[in-house]
Amino acid sequence: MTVMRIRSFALGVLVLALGVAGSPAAQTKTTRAVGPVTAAVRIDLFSDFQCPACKALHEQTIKRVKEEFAQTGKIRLVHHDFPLPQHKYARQAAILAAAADRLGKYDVVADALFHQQESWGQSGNVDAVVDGVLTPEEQKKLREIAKDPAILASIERDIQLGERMKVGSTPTMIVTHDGKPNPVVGVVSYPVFSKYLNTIVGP
Amino acid sequence: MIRRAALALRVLLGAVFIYAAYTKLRQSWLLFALSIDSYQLLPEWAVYALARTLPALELVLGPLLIAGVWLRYLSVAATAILALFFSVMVVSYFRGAGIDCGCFGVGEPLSLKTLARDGALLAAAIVLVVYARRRESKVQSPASSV
Repeated sequence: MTVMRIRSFALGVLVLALGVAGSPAAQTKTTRAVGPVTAAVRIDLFSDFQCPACKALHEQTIKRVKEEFAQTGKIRLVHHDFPLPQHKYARQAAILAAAADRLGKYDVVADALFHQQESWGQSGNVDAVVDGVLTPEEQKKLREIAKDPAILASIERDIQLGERMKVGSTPTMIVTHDGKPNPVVGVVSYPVFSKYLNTIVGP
Repeated sequence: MIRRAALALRVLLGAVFIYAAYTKLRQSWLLFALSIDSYQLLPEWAVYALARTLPALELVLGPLLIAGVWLRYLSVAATAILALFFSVMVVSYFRGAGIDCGCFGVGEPLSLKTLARDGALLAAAIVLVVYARRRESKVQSPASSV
Protein backbone atom coordinates (compact mmCIF):
# COMPACT_ATOMS: atom_id res chain seq x y z
CA MET A 1 0.00 0.00 0.00
CA THR A 2 2.79 2.39 0.99
CA VAL A 3 4.70 1.49 -2.18
CA MET A 4 1.62 2.28 -4.26
CA ARG A 5 1.23 5.63 -2.51
CA ILE A 6 4.87 6.50 -3.17
CA ARG A 7 4.49 5.50 -6.83
CA SER A 8 1.32 7.58 -7.21
CA PHE A 9 3.03 10.54 -5.56
CA ALA A 10 6.09 10.20 -7.81
CA LEU A 11 3.89 9.97 -10.90
CA GLY A 12 1.95 13.02 -9.79
CA VAL A 13 5.14 15.02 -9.29
CA LEU A 14 6.37 13.95 -12.74
CA VAL A 15 3.10 14.93 -14.43
CA LEU A 16 3.13 18.26 -12.60
CA ALA A 17 6.73 18.88 -13.62
CA LEU A 18 5.97 18.10 -17.24
CA GLY A 19 2.91 20.29 -17.12
CA VAL A 20 4.82 23.25 -15.74
CA ALA A 21 7.68 22.73 -18.21
CA GLY A 22 5.24 22.61 -21.09
CA SER A 23 3.30 25.69 -20.06
CA PRO A 24 3.69 28.97 -21.94
CA ALA A 25 5.26 30.53 -18.85
CA ALA A 26 8.04 27.95 -18.88
CA GLN A 27 8.60 28.52 -22.58
CA THR A 28 9.09 32.26 -22.24
CA LYS A 29 11.74 31.94 -19.51
CA THR A 30 14.48 32.09 -22.09
CA THR A 31 14.64 33.21 -25.69
CA ARG A 32 17.53 30.84 -26.36
CA ALA A 33 15.05 27.98 -26.32
CA VAL A 34 12.15 28.29 -28.72
CA GLY A 35 9.26 25.87 -29.17
CA PRO A 36 7.34 23.60 -26.83
CA VAL A 37 9.29 21.26 -24.55
CA THR A 38 6.87 18.53 -25.57
CA ALA A 39 7.80 18.81 -29.28
CA ALA A 40 8.64 15.47 -30.90
CA VAL A 41 11.83 16.91 -32.36
CA ARG A 42 14.47 18.78 -30.40
CA ILE A 43 17.47 20.55 -31.89
CA ASP A 44 20.41 21.40 -29.66
CA LEU A 45 22.53 23.92 -31.52
CA PHE A 46 26.13 24.37 -30.35
CA SER A 47 27.53 27.56 -31.73
CA ASP A 48 30.38 30.06 -31.36
CA PHE A 49 29.72 33.75 -32.07
CA GLN A 50 33.18 34.22 -33.61
CA CYS A 51 33.03 31.23 -35.97
CA PRO A 52 32.29 32.19 -39.62
CA ALA A 53 30.46 28.91 -40.31
CA CYS A 54 28.18 29.59 -37.31
CA LYS A 55 27.36 33.00 -38.76
CA ALA A 56 26.51 31.40 -42.11
CA LEU A 57 24.31 28.74 -40.49
CA HIS A 58 22.59 31.33 -38.29
CA GLU A 59 21.81 33.69 -41.14
CA GLN A 60 20.99 31.18 -43.88
CA THR A 61 19.24 28.42 -41.98
CA ILE A 62 18.59 28.85 -38.26
CA LYS A 63 16.56 32.06 -38.51
CA ARG A 64 14.12 30.37 -40.91
CA VAL A 65 14.06 27.14 -38.89
CA LYS A 66 13.16 29.19 -35.84
CA GLU A 67 10.36 31.01 -37.67
CA GLU A 68 8.89 28.09 -39.56
CA PHE A 69 9.43 25.18 -37.22
CA ALA A 70 10.16 26.35 -33.65
CA GLN A 71 7.80 29.31 -33.40
CA THR A 72 5.01 27.24 -34.96
CA GLY A 73 5.49 24.60 -32.25
CA LYS A 74 6.75 21.82 -34.52
CA ILE A 75 10.17 21.54 -32.91
CA ARG A 76 12.10 22.80 -29.91
CA LEU A 77 15.27 24.67 -30.77
CA VAL A 78 17.80 25.27 -28.00
CA HIS A 79 20.89 27.44 -28.47
CA HIS A 80 24.01 26.43 -26.55
CA ASP A 81 27.22 28.40 -26.32
CA PHE A 82 30.32 26.54 -27.39
CA PRO A 83 33.08 29.19 -27.59
CA LEU A 84 36.20 27.65 -29.09
CA PRO A 85 39.56 28.40 -27.42
CA GLN A 86 41.10 29.66 -30.68
CA HIS A 87 38.50 32.43 -30.89
CA LYS A 88 39.80 35.17 -28.62
CA TYR A 89 36.55 37.10 -28.10
CA ALA A 90 34.00 34.29 -28.42
CA ARG A 91 33.61 33.77 -24.69
CA GLN A 92 33.04 37.47 -24.06
CA ALA A 93 30.42 37.51 -26.80
CA ALA A 94 28.75 34.46 -25.27
CA ILE A 95 28.66 36.13 -21.84
CA LEU A 96 26.99 39.25 -23.25
CA ALA A 97 24.48 37.20 -25.25
CA ALA A 98 23.64 35.10 -22.18
CA ALA A 99 23.17 38.28 -20.17
CA ALA A 100 20.99 39.72 -22.93
CA ASP A 101 18.84 36.59 -22.69
CA ARG A 102 17.84 37.63 -19.17
CA LEU A 103 16.60 40.91 -20.61
CA GLY A 104 14.66 39.03 -23.27
CA LYS A 105 17.03 40.40 -25.90
CA TYR A 106 18.96 37.31 -26.90
CA ASP A 107 17.75 37.26 -30.50
CA VAL A 108 18.57 40.93 -31.12
CA VAL A 109 22.03 40.63 -29.59
CA ALA A 110 22.82 37.32 -31.29
CA ASP A 111 21.76 38.73 -34.67
CA ALA A 112 23.99 41.78 -34.16
CA LEU A 113 26.97 39.72 -33.01
CA PHE A 114 26.78 37.45 -36.03
CA HIS A 115 26.07 40.31 -38.43
CA GLN A 116 29.10 42.33 -37.29
CA GLN A 117 31.31 39.33 -36.53
CA GLU A 118 34.12 40.40 -38.81
CA SER A 119 34.56 43.81 -37.18
CA TRP A 120 34.48 42.83 -33.49
CA GLY A 121 36.37 39.61 -34.30
CA GLN A 122 39.30 41.82 -35.28
CA SER A 123 38.94 44.76 -32.91
CA GLY A 124 37.67 42.84 -29.89
CA ASN A 125 35.12 45.57 -29.26
CA VAL A 126 32.21 43.27 -28.53
CA ASP A 127 30.54 45.73 -26.14
CA ALA A 128 30.10 48.35 -28.85
CA VAL A 129 28.16 45.90 -31.03
CA VAL A 130 25.90 44.88 -28.16
CA ASP A 131 25.39 48.49 -27.03
CA GLY A 132 24.33 49.37 -30.55
CA VAL A 133 21.14 47.34 -30.25
CA LEU A 134 20.21 48.16 -26.65
CA THR A 135 18.83 51.26 -24.93
CA PRO A 136 21.14 53.02 -22.41
CA GLU A 137 19.08 51.55 -19.57
CA GLU A 138 19.36 48.05 -21.00
CA GLN A 139 23.10 48.51 -21.48
CA LYS A 140 23.46 49.36 -17.79
CA LYS A 141 21.42 46.34 -16.72
CA LEU A 142 23.35 44.09 -19.08
CA ARG A 143 26.69 45.12 -17.54
CA GLU A 144 25.37 44.19 -14.10
CA ILE A 145 23.96 40.85 -15.25
CA ALA A 146 27.16 39.99 -17.12
CA LYS A 147 29.07 40.16 -13.81
CA ASP A 148 26.85 37.46 -12.31
CA PRO A 149 28.96 34.27 -11.93
CA ALA A 150 25.85 32.28 -12.91
CA ILE A 151 26.21 33.59 -16.48
CA LEU A 152 29.72 32.19 -16.86
CA ALA A 153 28.61 29.01 -15.13
CA SER A 154 25.79 28.57 -17.68
CA ILE A 155 28.33 28.84 -20.52
CA GLU A 156 30.57 26.27 -18.83
CA ARG A 157 27.55 23.98 -18.50
CA ASP A 158 26.84 24.37 -22.22
CA ILE A 159 30.45 23.49 -23.06
CA GLN A 160 30.33 20.44 -20.80
CA LEU A 161 27.03 19.37 -22.35
CA GLY A 162 28.56 19.73 -25.81
CA GLU A 163 31.53 17.63 -24.80
CA ARG A 164 29.21 14.95 -23.43
CA MET A 165 27.30 15.04 -26.74
CA LYS A 166 30.64 14.64 -28.56
CA VAL A 167 30.56 18.05 -30.22
CA GLY A 168 33.94 18.44 -31.90
CA SER A 169 33.42 21.56 -33.98
CA THR A 170 30.98 24.41 -34.49
CA PRO A 171 28.31 24.70 -35.62
CA THR A 172 26.88 21.35 -34.58
CA MET A 173 23.18 20.57 -34.32
CA ILE A 174 22.06 17.51 -32.43
CA VAL A 175 18.65 16.60 -33.81
CA THR A 176 16.86 14.30 -31.39
CA HIS A 177 13.82 12.41 -32.62
CA ASP A 178 12.30 9.27 -31.07
CA GLY A 179 15.04 9.45 -28.44
CA LYS A 180 17.76 9.05 -31.08
CA PRO A 181 20.27 11.89 -31.44
CA ASN A 182 21.63 12.63 -34.93
CA PRO A 183 24.48 15.11 -35.29
CA VAL A 184 24.32 17.56 -38.20
CA VAL A 185 27.73 19.22 -38.44
CA GLY A 186 28.67 22.35 -40.37
CA VAL A 187 26.66 24.67 -42.56
CA VAL A 188 23.62 23.09 -44.15
CA SER A 189 21.21 24.90 -46.41
CA TYR A 190 17.64 25.63 -45.36
CA PRO A 191 15.96 23.73 -48.26
CA VAL A 192 17.76 20.45 -47.47
CA PHE A 193 17.46 20.81 -43.68
CA SER A 194 13.77 21.75 -43.80
CA LYS A 195 13.07 18.77 -46.06
CA TYR A 196 14.67 16.52 -43.44
CA LEU A 197 12.75 18.20 -40.61
CA ASN A 198 9.45 17.84 -42.48
CA THR A 199 9.98 14.08 -42.70
CA ILE A 200 10.45 13.75 -38.94
CA VAL A 201 8.06 16.31 -37.47
CA GLY A 202 5.05 14.67 -39.08
CA PRO A 203 1.89 16.42 -40.28
CA MET B 1 51.49 -14.23 -54.00
CA ILE B 2 50.35 -11.32 -56.18
CA ARG B 3 47.02 -13.03 -56.79
CA ARG B 4 46.50 -13.44 -53.05
CA ALA B 5 47.36 -9.80 -52.42
CA ALA B 6 44.93 -8.75 -55.15
CA LEU B 7 42.24 -10.96 -53.62
CA ALA B 8 42.85 -9.34 -50.22
CA LEU B 9 42.54 -5.86 -51.74
CA ARG B 10 39.33 -6.82 -53.58
CA VAL B 11 37.79 -8.19 -50.39
CA LEU B 12 38.91 -5.15 -48.40
CA LEU B 13 37.54 -2.62 -50.88
CA GLY B 14 34.36 -4.63 -51.46
CA ALA B 15 33.70 -4.91 -47.72
CA VAL B 16 34.31 -1.19 -47.22
CA PHE B 17 31.84 -0.31 -50.00
CA ILE B 18 29.21 -2.70 -48.57
CA TYR B 19 29.66 -1.32 -45.06
CA ALA B 20 29.53 2.28 -46.33
CA ALA B 21 26.28 1.51 -48.16
CA TYR B 22 24.82 -0.22 -45.10
CA THR B 23 25.55 2.72 -42.77
CA LYS B 24 23.90 5.13 -45.21
CA LEU B 25 20.87 2.97 -45.99
CA ARG B 26 19.99 2.23 -42.36
CA GLN B 27 19.33 5.92 -41.69
CA SER B 28 17.16 8.50 -43.44
CA TRP B 29 18.63 9.29 -46.87
CA LEU B 30 18.15 12.96 -45.99
CA LEU B 31 20.73 12.69 -43.20
CA PHE B 32 23.23 11.62 -45.83
CA ALA B 33 21.97 14.48 -48.03
CA LEU B 34 22.78 16.85 -45.15
CA SER B 35 26.31 15.44 -44.94
CA ILE B 36 26.79 16.05 -48.67
CA ASP B 37 25.20 19.50 -48.37
CA SER B 38 27.61 20.49 -45.61
CA TYR B 39 30.50 20.24 -48.10
CA GLN B 40 28.84 23.23 -49.84
CA LEU B 41 29.99 22.13 -53.27
CA LEU B 42 26.82 20.97 -55.00
CA PRO B 43 23.47 22.54 -55.89
CA GLU B 44 20.38 21.24 -54.13
CA TRP B 45 19.24 18.91 -56.94
CA ALA B 46 22.70 17.30 -57.14
CA VAL B 47 22.78 16.82 -53.35
CA TYR B 48 19.52 14.84 -53.53
CA ALA B 49 20.59 12.89 -56.61
CA LEU B 50 23.89 11.86 -55.02
CA ALA B 51 22.29 11.00 -51.67
CA ARG B 52 19.76 8.77 -53.45
CA THR B 53 22.17 6.97 -55.81
CA LEU B 54 25.54 6.70 -54.07
CA PRO B 55 24.58 4.10 -51.41
CA ALA B 56 22.99 1.90 -54.11
CA LEU B 57 26.10 2.23 -56.26
CA GLU B 58 28.30 1.24 -53.32
CA LEU B 59 26.03 -1.71 -52.59
CA VAL B 60 26.37 -3.00 -56.16
CA LEU B 61 30.09 -2.30 -56.43
CA GLY B 62 31.06 -4.01 -53.17
CA PRO B 63 29.90 -7.58 -53.90
CA LEU B 64 31.07 -7.38 -57.53
CA LEU B 65 34.57 -6.38 -56.41
CA ILE B 66 34.67 -9.29 -53.97
CA ALA B 67 33.46 -11.65 -56.69
CA GLY B 68 36.17 -10.33 -58.99
CA VAL B 69 33.98 -9.97 -62.07
CA TRP B 70 34.67 -7.25 -64.66
CA LEU B 71 37.62 -6.31 -62.48
CA ARG B 72 39.25 -4.16 -65.14
CA TYR B 73 36.23 -1.85 -65.27
CA LEU B 74 35.08 -2.09 -61.66
CA SER B 75 38.53 -1.32 -60.26
CA VAL B 76 38.52 1.84 -62.39
CA ALA B 77 35.02 2.72 -61.13
CA ALA B 78 36.11 2.18 -57.51
CA THR B 79 39.22 4.31 -58.09
CA ALA B 80 37.15 7.10 -59.67
CA ILE B 81 34.68 7.15 -56.76
CA LEU B 82 37.42 7.08 -54.11
CA ALA B 83 39.45 9.74 -55.95
CA LEU B 84 36.37 11.97 -56.02
CA PHE B 85 35.75 11.46 -52.29
CA PHE B 86 39.41 12.00 -51.46
CA SER B 87 39.78 15.22 -53.44
CA VAL B 88 36.58 16.69 -52.01
CA MET B 89 37.64 15.74 -48.49
CA VAL B 90 41.14 17.21 -48.91
CA VAL B 91 39.76 20.50 -50.26
CA SER B 92 37.18 20.75 -47.45
CA TYR B 93 39.65 19.81 -44.73
CA PHE B 94 42.22 22.41 -45.77
CA ARG B 95 39.47 24.99 -46.27
CA GLY B 96 38.87 24.54 -42.54
CA ALA B 97 35.31 23.24 -42.83
CA GLY B 98 34.52 21.56 -39.52
CA ILE B 99 32.10 19.05 -41.00
CA ASP B 100 31.22 15.40 -40.91
CA CYS B 101 33.02 13.09 -43.31
CA GLY B 102 29.74 11.41 -44.27
CA CYS B 103 31.74 8.30 -45.23
CA PHE B 104 29.97 5.87 -42.91
CA GLY B 105 26.73 7.57 -41.92
CA VAL B 106 26.66 10.51 -39.53
CA GLY B 107 28.84 11.34 -36.55
CA GLU B 108 32.37 11.00 -37.92
CA PRO B 109 34.20 14.32 -38.23
CA LEU B 110 36.38 15.05 -41.24
CA SER B 111 39.92 14.73 -39.91
CA LEU B 112 43.45 13.73 -40.83
CA LYS B 113 42.48 10.19 -39.79
CA THR B 114 39.60 10.05 -42.29
CA LEU B 115 41.86 11.55 -44.97
CA ALA B 116 44.55 8.92 -44.31
CA ARG B 117 41.96 6.15 -44.41
CA ASP B 118 40.45 7.37 -47.68
CA GLY B 119 43.90 7.90 -49.16
CA ALA B 120 44.88 4.32 -48.27
CA LEU B 121 41.69 2.98 -49.87
CA LEU B 122 42.38 5.04 -53.00
CA ALA B 123 45.92 3.63 -53.16
CA ALA B 124 44.51 0.10 -52.82
CA ALA B 125 42.07 0.75 -55.67
CA ILE B 126 44.87 2.07 -57.90
CA VAL B 127 46.95 -1.05 -57.19
CA LEU B 128 43.93 -3.13 -58.18
CA VAL B 129 43.60 -1.21 -61.48
CA VAL B 130 47.26 -1.91 -62.28
CA TYR B 131 46.87 -5.57 -61.34
CA ALA B 132 43.73 -5.98 -63.49
CA ARG B 133 45.43 -4.39 -66.52
CA ARG B 134 48.54 -6.53 -66.19
CA ARG B 135 46.47 -9.67 -65.77
CA GLU B 136 44.48 -8.86 -68.87
CA SER B 137 47.55 -8.06 -70.96
CA LYS B 138 49.10 -11.40 -69.89
CA VAL B 139 45.96 -13.23 -70.94
CA GLN B 140 45.86 -11.41 -74.30
CA SER B 141 49.58 -11.48 -75.20
CA PRO B 142 49.81 -15.20 -76.33
CA ALA B 143 46.85 -14.74 -78.69
CA SER B 144 48.20 -11.49 -80.21
CA SER B 145 51.61 -13.09 -80.91
CA VAL B 146 49.98 -15.77 -83.11
